[in-house]
Amino acid sequence: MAAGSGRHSASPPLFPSVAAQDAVKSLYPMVNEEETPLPRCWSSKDKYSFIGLSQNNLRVHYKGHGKNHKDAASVRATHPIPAACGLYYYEVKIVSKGRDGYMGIGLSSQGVNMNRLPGWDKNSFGYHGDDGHSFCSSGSGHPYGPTFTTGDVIGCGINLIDNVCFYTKNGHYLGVAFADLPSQLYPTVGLQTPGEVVDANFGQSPFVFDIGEMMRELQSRVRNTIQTFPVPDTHGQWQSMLHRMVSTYLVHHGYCATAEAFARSTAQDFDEELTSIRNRQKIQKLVLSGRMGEAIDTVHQLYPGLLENNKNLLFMLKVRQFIEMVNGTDTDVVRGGSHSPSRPPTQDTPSPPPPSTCWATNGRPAEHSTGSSSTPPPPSSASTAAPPSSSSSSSSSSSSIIQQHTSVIQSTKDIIGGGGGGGGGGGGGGGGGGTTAPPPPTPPSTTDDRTTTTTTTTTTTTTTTHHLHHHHHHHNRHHRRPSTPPVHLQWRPPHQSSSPPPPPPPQQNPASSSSSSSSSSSSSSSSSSSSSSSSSNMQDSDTEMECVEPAAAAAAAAAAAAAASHSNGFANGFDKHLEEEEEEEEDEEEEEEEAMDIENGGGGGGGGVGGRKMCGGSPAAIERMLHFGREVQHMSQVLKIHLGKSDQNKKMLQDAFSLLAYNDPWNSPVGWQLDPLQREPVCQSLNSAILESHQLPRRPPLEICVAHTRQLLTLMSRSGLGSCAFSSVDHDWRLRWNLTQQKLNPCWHSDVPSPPTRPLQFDQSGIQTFISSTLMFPTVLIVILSWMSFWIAPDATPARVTLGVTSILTMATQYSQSTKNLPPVSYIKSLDIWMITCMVYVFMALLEFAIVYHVHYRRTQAPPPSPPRCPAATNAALHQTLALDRPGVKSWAVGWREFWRGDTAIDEASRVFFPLTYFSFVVGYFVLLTGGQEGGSGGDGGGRGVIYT
Amino acid sequence: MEVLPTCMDVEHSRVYIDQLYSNDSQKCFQAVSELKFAVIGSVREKGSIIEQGVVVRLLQILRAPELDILLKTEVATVLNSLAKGLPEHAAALVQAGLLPVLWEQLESCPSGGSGSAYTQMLLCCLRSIYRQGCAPPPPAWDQKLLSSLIQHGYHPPSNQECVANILAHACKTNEQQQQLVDAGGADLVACLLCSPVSRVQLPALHCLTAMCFNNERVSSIIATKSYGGKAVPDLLVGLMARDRPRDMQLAAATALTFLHRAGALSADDPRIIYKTLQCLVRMCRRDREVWERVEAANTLAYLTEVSTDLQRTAAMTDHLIHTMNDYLKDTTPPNASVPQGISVSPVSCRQYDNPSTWPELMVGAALKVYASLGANDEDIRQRVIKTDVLMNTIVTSLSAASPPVQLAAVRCLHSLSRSVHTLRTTLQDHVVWRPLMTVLKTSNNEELVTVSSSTLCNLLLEFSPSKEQILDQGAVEFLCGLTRRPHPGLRLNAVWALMNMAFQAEHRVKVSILHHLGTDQIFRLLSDTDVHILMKTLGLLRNLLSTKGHIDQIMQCHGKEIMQAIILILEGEHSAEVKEQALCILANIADGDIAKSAIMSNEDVLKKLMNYMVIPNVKLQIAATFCISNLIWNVEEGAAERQNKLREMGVYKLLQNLMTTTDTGLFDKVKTALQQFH
Repeated sequence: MAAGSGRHSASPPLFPSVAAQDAVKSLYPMVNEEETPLPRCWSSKDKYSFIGLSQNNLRVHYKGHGKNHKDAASVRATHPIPAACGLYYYEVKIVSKGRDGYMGIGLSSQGVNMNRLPGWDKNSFGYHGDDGHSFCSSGSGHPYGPTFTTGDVIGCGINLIDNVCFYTKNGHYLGVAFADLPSQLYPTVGLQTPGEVVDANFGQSPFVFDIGEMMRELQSRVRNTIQTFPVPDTHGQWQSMLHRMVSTYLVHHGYCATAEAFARSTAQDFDEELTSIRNRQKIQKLVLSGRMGEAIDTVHQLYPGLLENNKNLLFMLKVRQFIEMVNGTDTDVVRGGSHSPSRPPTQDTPSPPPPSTCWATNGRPAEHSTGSSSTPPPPSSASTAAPPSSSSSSSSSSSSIIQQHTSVIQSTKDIIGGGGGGGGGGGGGGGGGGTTAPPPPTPPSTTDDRTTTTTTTTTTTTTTTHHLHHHHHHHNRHHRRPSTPPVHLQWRPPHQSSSPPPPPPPQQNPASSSSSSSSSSSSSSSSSSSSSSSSSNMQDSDTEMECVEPAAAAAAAAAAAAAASHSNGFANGFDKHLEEEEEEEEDEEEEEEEAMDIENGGGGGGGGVGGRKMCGGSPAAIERMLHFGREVQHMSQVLKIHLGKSDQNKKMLQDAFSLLAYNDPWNSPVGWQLDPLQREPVCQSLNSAILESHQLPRRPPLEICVAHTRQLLTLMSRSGLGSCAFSSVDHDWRLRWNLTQQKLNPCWHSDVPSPPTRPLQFDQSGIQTFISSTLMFPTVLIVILSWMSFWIAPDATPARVTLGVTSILTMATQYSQSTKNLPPVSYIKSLDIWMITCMVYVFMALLEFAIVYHVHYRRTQAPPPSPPRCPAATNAALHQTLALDRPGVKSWAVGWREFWRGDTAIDEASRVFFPLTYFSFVVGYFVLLTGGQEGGSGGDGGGRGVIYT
Repeated sequence: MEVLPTCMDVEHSRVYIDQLYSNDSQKCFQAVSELKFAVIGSVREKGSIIEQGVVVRLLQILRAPELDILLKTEVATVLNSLAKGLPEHAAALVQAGLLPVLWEQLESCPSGGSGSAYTQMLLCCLRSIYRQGCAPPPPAWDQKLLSSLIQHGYHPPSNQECVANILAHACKTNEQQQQLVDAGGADLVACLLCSPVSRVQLPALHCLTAMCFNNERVSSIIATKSYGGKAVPDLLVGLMARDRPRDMQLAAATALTFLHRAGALSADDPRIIYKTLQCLVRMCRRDREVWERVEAANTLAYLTEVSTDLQRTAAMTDHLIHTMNDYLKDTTPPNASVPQGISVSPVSCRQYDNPSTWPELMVGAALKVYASLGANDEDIRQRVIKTDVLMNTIVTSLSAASPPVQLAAVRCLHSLSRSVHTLRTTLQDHVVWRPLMTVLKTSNNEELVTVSSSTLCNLLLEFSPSKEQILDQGAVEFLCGLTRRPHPGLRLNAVWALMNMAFQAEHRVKVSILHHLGTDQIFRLLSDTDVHILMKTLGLLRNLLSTKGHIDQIMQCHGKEIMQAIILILEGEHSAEVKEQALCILANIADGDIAKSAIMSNEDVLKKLMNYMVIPNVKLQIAATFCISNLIWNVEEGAAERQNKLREMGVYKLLQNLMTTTDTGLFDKVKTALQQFH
């Protein structure tokens, strides 16, 4: 379900796939057609007047008198032959030899007289049909080959490596005709007597001669030259140098476990501490997931003085942070209580403008639902407007809902209550958000002092909202208490223990938060810090929920769930409603719609209605973003004073600010900045700067070497050296390591990410088994375990809930374990798909129980009057279930309930439905994953778009 | 340590050689191990060990049934190492009777245990012996042994390599080829071709080549075999791809060539005319190794020997004629050194060991290519002849060169002599007949003499200016001598040459021919089993019995014998063509004044003639009628008598009956004959 919400992965192919190109292009893959276009037809301009062209300028016929050689006429192709072809070839079919068959086929330079047959003048070369002679820039020919006439196919090839020209006749190689050719030659044909007609084939259709085999020969020759190139190799220095290159590369990009293993097996050592590598890896992870604020803080923490000394880099990071804010991925905008850098903020869009979304690690169910849903607007009553957008204070309060999921419910309920309390609170929040001048981001130390709910990147603004938040929370708690369902379940402690400690340890929460149950809120915050389990977040956030009225509660729960995992997406929905349906009236109704929307989003995934909004659509966030923008501007001015003008910085800033000028920045001309791929250069320069500060090379020698080679290749093609056609860096330099032989550390998961420039590809053949045995299998078992609850009676609430929740927690642990050793990447991995789906299944099993319980409960008795204390988990599950249960309550909910005559029916259906769908996913996953592996990418189980493995 | 190392060596070797003869298998094993380490990598040591006669003891160990398999494996290793030494070493091993022992041991190996080290080592040893090129192949394969050998060849790559090598070197005769295919060799080879290891593919190709050579049946079987869904010819094309190693390309092209020549693939098959031909031409280029160029040229000559299409295509591909010219000039190969580790086909094994023979090999190969190219097409022949030093090379090669090159030169000359133009100009200018006659008279190589005599046939054609000079050299005598040779090809060529010589020749020549040939020999030739020889002999008689004067003179001397010979033919069981020739001779005889009587006096012949006039074969009818009309020719003396006699015999009636014929040729003849009757 979660995965079903449709995701586009980032990372478009970096190199245009040859297969997609036309036939001519595919013959010469190394030719850069922007610089040196390929000849594809005869030029209608560069020809003598006696020549006529037809059939897309491919057929040439003679229309002159043809009395003597002064009536000869020739035509050149549109473009010269690029050197990067390596071996260029075209064929001419003699349709009719005309009166005398004086035809010449060959090559000529630009500017050679067109009133002549090719070969007669300087820089022109031809093979003539009447006598079979070859003419090499002179009026007299040499005997070369057979004559040719109607029906023959003459091919002319030029080997740009040896600089020779050869011909073929009807597929038979005639041998070299000319050597030492000049560069920049055009395919040329010349005719001299009436009735002569020839057709050219520049590669549009298959050649008669097997040119492919010749190309392969040249390729193997070039490769052989490269491979046997003598290197000064004394005492194995060459090999150790290569080892060193690989090892430095691995270290540089933070593949620490791999680097360790490699160093072990090749007896190398690397200069950097392991912890330092891990730190860099952590920072990279943050940057690539778009959480610039956190990244900057972490850098400050771990490498004090680095950014202070390198203002330009800091500026670059800040600008990127600004862009991420616009994108809605930065922590300052998201703020969903995510204190852990390892928890990636996944922002997504339902109907995506190209592949701009970052799938840092996973797409979670709830986040999708929120992202796509168009949630009803919060009450319009709150009208203290936050300046930039039309959003009201209530929207700011809603944004606060988003930020702190524990209180989301409260605030929503607050709204439901319709009370002035909510409005007032909202107003306060709006005031706080609007008026507080945002100070520059403070270092973590200061933040610690202020925050109540722990973040590493809080600003004053957020602090305020937090306060607000808890106020609501508190308020609501009292308000709603009467409707708490009877079941209590305390399972907080295990959950807490299961969440991995995030690098900047989450401060113990709401000591300062008013009177709310601090323990539960802390549990929720820590749960959200758990790096991978969004569903557990939901569960958790609901621990403090009370429920009376199922519908409302369900909505709230869903909202909470949404917010927990994806606040910005949720806010998105809100914002939309703000704009579109501001006049929405009743609170209850709103809630219902909201719930429905959420449901839509949850179920329909990508098909949701809402579009992406700037900063995730939250006005407060927009405001923060604007403030931040000002700050960045200020910084740029300071930089200008201190370091002088920098066009680069200026351009960067301009581009970033231009984003604001568009309604839909993703589709704007400057929208490319929002592409997660753009994080990679930033990430790289940050990484390089860190390394540089440690007196390590900015770039790994391997990359330098590859870059040199690339440059060399373009240089070769420019200076007319044909060998470049057959020495492709990306194809030839593949490192193929048989992992089973190398006995490398198992940290090489199937989704070893390609680093930003992807120069390396690894053979992963040995790894599949490992993955499936140590990772996949346990998760399958856990999922199956969760289905056990279908066989337990609905009355046995504690048993079923415990089972469900435990499964979720185990799954979460598994997931975080599995991702721990992997370097950060900005796109989704196949492993993520797997884990998320499993998690969703476990979650749905719990959800199913909630439905069952609810139905069961309903049927048997009326809800008991509010018990004094709210049970934790059971309710949570229940509410969520109802959220799902909710759509279209008014119209058909009754009928629906009747349809389900009993809760056992649901259980029975689930017993079949769950295993069936799950195992089909498993099968699909493995089929597609293994099938797509060779190409470096694979599809996932259920048509969820392309995943890069 | 004070002892000098050489002394130590001697002392040491004596010790383990002594121990070798020990009965204690433990000690023996020790000794063999030491021997192994001593032998490996040292040619000198190998020689000395073989000289000491250790081989006999080793074979004895192999044969001993009670001894441990480990020891035997070690022994086989030693033998393998010895076999890898100089060719002489391998020859010595064969002399010592190694092969039967090895085969016997291999046979006794369990067929299922093809993976065992002992089997592998035995195969390696056999392979090493055969690769030295000095082992005589088993005269005929033991069927059981062969199939077990093929079974061994399937599994480990080392076995695959060994078995392919053994088969490639040991398959020489037609019978062996057949046996090999029957035992499943074709499937094995198809399987080996798909091996990823080039060390296996290459011997597999050689093996395939050896199996297909000149064997239609085997080739057609192999061409239909497939492995992994690809037919063998397609597999070969795959191995011939330009990015494959050169020796592999060459071997694959050779295999395809042999398949083509054995009729399994037609000449217009794209795999032959595009792929194979181009590959071979490419291998002839100047930038290749000498041995590659020679092999490629030889194969190319074989490929293009027959098909005119292939000759035309080859002649225009990649300046082949010009490339071959390089072969003739390129007499001193730069930095000539023996190529190491090349794997040429078993046929040319050890041919390239001596760099000083390379120029000769190249010249031979080039001449063969020219011979094939110029075989049928006059245009190509003219282009070949224009090649720079060709004629000089041919002449010098004819007079002073090794037989293979001489043969190539004569072949080339033969091809070129098919052109009338050349015959009258170039060949005359270079006085090629002189060395040719020398070759004919001195050589006892039958193939060489055959080709030379065919060339001589062309040179003796009536329009050839060298005819007279050749006659002066005593050609008649020589050719008549040739007709007595046992080789049918030689007899045919000799008779043919005589026939050519007798065509419109002077009387003295004819007399000389008759004199030297003798009527006995004519009868012998007429009773030859080869119909071609018979036809040419009749042709010779016809040429001898032309023009009136000659007919009379010859008939006077040999009339009786000739008439006997003709009756012999007419009465014998011969085809219509032969009898037609005989009737034509009769017609010639009937042309002579005096000779007529020879027929008229022989009623038997006349009756036969009348018989042939009614036989339902137009050609025979024409010939007989022609003969009759010659007999009754009006102008000649005594015509009336003959007419009367024939009229009496009912010839006139017969002729009138024949007037109803629908055949215009016959009708004309009959009409002429009737007109001659009064």
